[in-house]
Amino acid sequence: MLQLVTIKQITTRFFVVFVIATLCCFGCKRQPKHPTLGFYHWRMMGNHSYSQSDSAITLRCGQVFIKVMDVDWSDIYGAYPTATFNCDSLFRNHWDTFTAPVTPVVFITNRTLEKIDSNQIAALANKILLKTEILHISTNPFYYSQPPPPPPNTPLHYHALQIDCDWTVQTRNKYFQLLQALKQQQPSLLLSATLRLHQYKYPKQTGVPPVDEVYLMCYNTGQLKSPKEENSIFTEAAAKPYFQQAASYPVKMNIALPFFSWTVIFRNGQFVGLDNQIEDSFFSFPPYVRPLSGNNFELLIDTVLHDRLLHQGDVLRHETISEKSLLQAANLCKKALNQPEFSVVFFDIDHVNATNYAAIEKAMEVFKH
Amino acid sequence: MPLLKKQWKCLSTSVLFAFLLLLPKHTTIACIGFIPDEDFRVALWQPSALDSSGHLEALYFSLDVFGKNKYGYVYASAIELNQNYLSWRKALQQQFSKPDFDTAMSILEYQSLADTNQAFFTCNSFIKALRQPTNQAFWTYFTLAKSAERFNSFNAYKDPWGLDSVHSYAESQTQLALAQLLNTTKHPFIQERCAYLLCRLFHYGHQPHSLDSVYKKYLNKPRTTPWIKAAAEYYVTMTAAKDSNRNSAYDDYLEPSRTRNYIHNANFYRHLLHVVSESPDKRLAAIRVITRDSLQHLLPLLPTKKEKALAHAVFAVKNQAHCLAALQKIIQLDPYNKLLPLLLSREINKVEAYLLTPALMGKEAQKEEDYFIYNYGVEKGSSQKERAYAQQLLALVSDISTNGIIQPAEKYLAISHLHLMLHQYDQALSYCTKAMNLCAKTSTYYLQARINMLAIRLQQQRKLDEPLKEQLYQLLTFMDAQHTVNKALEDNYVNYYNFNPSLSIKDDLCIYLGKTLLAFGDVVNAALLLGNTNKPWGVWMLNSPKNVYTILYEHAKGADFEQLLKVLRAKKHSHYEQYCINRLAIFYDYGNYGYETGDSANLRKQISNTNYGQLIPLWDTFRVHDLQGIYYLKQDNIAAALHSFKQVAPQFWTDSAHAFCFYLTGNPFEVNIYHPNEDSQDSTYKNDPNKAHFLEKLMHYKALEAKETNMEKKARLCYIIGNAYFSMGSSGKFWLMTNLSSYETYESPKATYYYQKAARLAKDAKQAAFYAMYANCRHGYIDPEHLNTRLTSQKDGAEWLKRLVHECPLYADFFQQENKLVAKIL
Repeated sequence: MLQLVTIKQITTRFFVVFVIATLCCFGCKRQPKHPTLGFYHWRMMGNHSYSQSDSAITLRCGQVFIKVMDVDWSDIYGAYPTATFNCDSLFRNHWDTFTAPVTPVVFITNRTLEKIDSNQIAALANKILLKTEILHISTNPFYYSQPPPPPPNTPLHYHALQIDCDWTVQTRNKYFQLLQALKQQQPSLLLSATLRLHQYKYPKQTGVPPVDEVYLMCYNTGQLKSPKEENSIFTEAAAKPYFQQAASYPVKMNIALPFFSWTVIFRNGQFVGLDNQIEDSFFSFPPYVRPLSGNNFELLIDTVLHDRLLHQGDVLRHETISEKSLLQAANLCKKALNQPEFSVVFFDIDHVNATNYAAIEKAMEVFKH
Repeated sequence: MPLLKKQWKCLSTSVLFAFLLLLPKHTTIACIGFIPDEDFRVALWQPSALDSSGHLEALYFSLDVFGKNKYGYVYASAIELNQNYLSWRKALQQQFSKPDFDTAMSILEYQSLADTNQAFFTCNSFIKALRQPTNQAFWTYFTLAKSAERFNSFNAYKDPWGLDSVHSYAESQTQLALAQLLNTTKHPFIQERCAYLLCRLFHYGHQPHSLDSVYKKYLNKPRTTPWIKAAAEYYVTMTAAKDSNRNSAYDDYLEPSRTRNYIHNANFYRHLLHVVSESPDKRLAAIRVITRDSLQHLLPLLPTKKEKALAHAVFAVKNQAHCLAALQKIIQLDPYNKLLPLLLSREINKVEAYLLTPALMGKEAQKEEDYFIYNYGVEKGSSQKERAYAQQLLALVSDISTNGIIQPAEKYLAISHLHLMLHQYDQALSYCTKAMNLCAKTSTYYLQARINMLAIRLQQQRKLDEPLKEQLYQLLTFMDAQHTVNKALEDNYVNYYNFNPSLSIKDDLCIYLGKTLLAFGDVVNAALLLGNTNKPWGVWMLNSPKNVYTILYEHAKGADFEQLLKVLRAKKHSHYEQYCINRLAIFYDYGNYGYETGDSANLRKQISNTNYGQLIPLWDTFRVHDLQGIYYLKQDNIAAALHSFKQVAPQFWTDSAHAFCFYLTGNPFEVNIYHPNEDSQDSTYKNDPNKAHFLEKLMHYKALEAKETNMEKKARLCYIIGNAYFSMGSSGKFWLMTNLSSYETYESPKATYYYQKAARLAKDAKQAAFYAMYANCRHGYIDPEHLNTRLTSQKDGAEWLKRLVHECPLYADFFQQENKLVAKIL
């Protein structure tokens, strides 16, 4: 009896161990992933009229990345902030629905990095931190006026900062020096940087930014100014090579996916501009446009669109992101992930609505498996 | 005036700080009046309107609320531009245009300076001069001054980072570069300015030791320009008094309950009073700081009589009420007080505002708020009380000794002016002649004397005769010439504020004389004169300013129109007539008489800037005929009205730029009881906006009615004629026949008369009731609500008429209450 019990116990224990071991094996192979949904808010001016359904979407949003300023170069003023965030433009009436933490984003031009003296970079970092503090506070709807400058050594009211820069080999050193200075001056700050596809693919040539995490921008893959381009925002064919034989990136990876549209304008085969306010419905309005091949349209009359004079015969390439393209981008980017917890941020929130939100959910599903 | 209010703030700020930026020899924040639409005060006393000496302009009441501008923005004067321009020309010894210089001064936004390839840098003659290799130091100073401006004031465009008050940012590259330039330059022009700019930087950067050091080393010297020294003293004083916690503004923002403290003591006030006395540039700022405290607290801290007098003057400047007592005190303590002329002038302006303006404004005087903008704290006494005050002021001015601060000519002029206000014209003339004999013909006092002389003569003669017209013409053209001299100002003021300092006295003179002539019953000359002003002299419908046509509409009689037309059509004009008739105006589409007058150059610029309206001669005989016709229609003189309308070219009525073709639509001889003023029911009727055609038709119906013997037909014709009269009233579809604005309420009594006549003539009781119903509509306005709610549900014409007739007995009670005549007919 005792023996039987023992055998039974042994069998049971073996079974339990087997099951656990099996589960562990499977578990090792298919780690659960925890993507956090986020959105970029890039618009500096104007009001965004969020609807009720939009509010519902924002409830599921885990973080918001708000571009607070560009940093550009002036011969007289040196590095200076331009296109700064206008506190009236955002969430004034919908703040309560935006419970997600806000990460300010600062875009810095290559021209600034080219011109700035290395010994001014620490001062620039300080200015960026303080200016961001002012702008970040101004995103809070309880403060209706622009805050005054913070005194030195004021604890910052934001905990994460993202720097966006299309750095080159020439500007790399100064850019990285700036990132280091930011981190040095605010060690507790979660510092992130955006990463272009070529920077991801060639880390040795372009360098790895000294930040806590990076956001891989899986868009702007094509040649914007080429009339032959099919879609400069994203095509799988253009993006795919960047992910082939790419090594695991040495910094924690997050993903930024395209969720926007714009219209590229050509005149006599030459690029003349970009308009990101023309809506889809414009292209189904016969008196104005005639469809050409693909997503190209010919303008049939002279007209003014968003303060720009367009001529009859201008070719408009209307570029959008289809659900299919979005899923293709998601599937490609998945390969770049190097941590179980990461963020997927869509660019940008202006284009999200209740109708197209399903595509975002599907893209998020891609990252969960 | 559409541009005015919206654009005050940004331009006034930029202009002001442009002047502060490059430090003219005598930077004067002059108290020049800006005239808001609704402010009708007349200031005929502007003895330094065209003054080039750089003193404060003595217009209006408060330096705190500069000039007449109730919103508290400040304006710099022509003097500043001229002096700054001239001092730069002298320093650079090169030619550059004044408009280019003004542009360079005005641009402060760092974005505009960011790109050195833009037109501003490549086309501006001042910038070109600055960028000559020999002027390298000036160019360096210019860029540094622009750069420093972002740190240097609370209202200027600040540091692009918005971090300008942070200690570390004041120690900027700009500061270092300025210090370097200060140490290397030998040019006193640059040296003084660099030192001053550094003082400002150290002030805003809260670096008291550096500020003291620069002030003592470079500015606290006997040969330093006094106003620069005093302006720097302001910063030294303010920095010493500041709370040590310089950065508390940020904490205040997050914790609004916190307050900041300043250290106030005798030295603080004595220094600031010195600044008031010596530095026009910082005078206003110092006055604002001093008057935070009370005069009672201040006086014991001041040891000298001179300082006490200055303190009284500073508080008088802030006082919008009568300040006779303060003036007496100042004269007693220090008759040489520099603010005395300013305060005296302002008291005279107060007499003008509270005594002269209400008398001139006539109907507008009923609405005190129209001209009493500063009504708080001001005793709005009766005219008797104001006259008594003017007498007291006259006594004070008469006793004042002429000591160099108050010139004899100025004193006699002031006495003359007060006599003019008090209607004592003989004394006024006597003192004015004395003043004229004392002052040089080129002085601004002489101009004021000419103005006074003209005003006195008009009051004595009670008519504008030819010699006076000639004098007036000479004066007006002289003022225009001054305006041309200061033409560069147009860019900075006129386009945005519709105000030009050198024209403000001209405007007020025209209004004074025009309104006086109107009071004398000379409508024609009043209108011709008032057409020469940019300043509004009354409010028309919907708060738009009155223009010459509204004056005619309100005041002109048949003979006035004829007289005016004779002047306008004459083949030969006097200089004065030519001057008035050639006036141009902006004409806005779709307005009946929507004109905006102004000087031609200004209007042209407005048009080119806004693509709004078109520039046309102000005087148009067709419009005068139209108004004449309206006048006769209101007199019920149809034949005369028709004659007037016939003088108008047919295209005038159909021109799409005018209002007639939009409002004289539908069949005016039919009135739908549900839509009395709409033409929606008359879509088959061919519109004809020609007023003459309408009256011809009306006269035709009247002739038919007179001949008609069939009572039913006669009644019907009366009904049609009644409809025509109703249509001409403010509730009718042809309201433009007798009204100038759709907001008027003129109704012809003839409509009711003809409806009643129709009701009396109609044999059929039900038809009579129908006519009577029209006749009894309240004030000719046909409102179904007044009839019966049962009727309102019936909207189809024929069906409705049937039911109306059927239900007539039901309305008997209604009519009985309204009109016994109808009950009798029924």
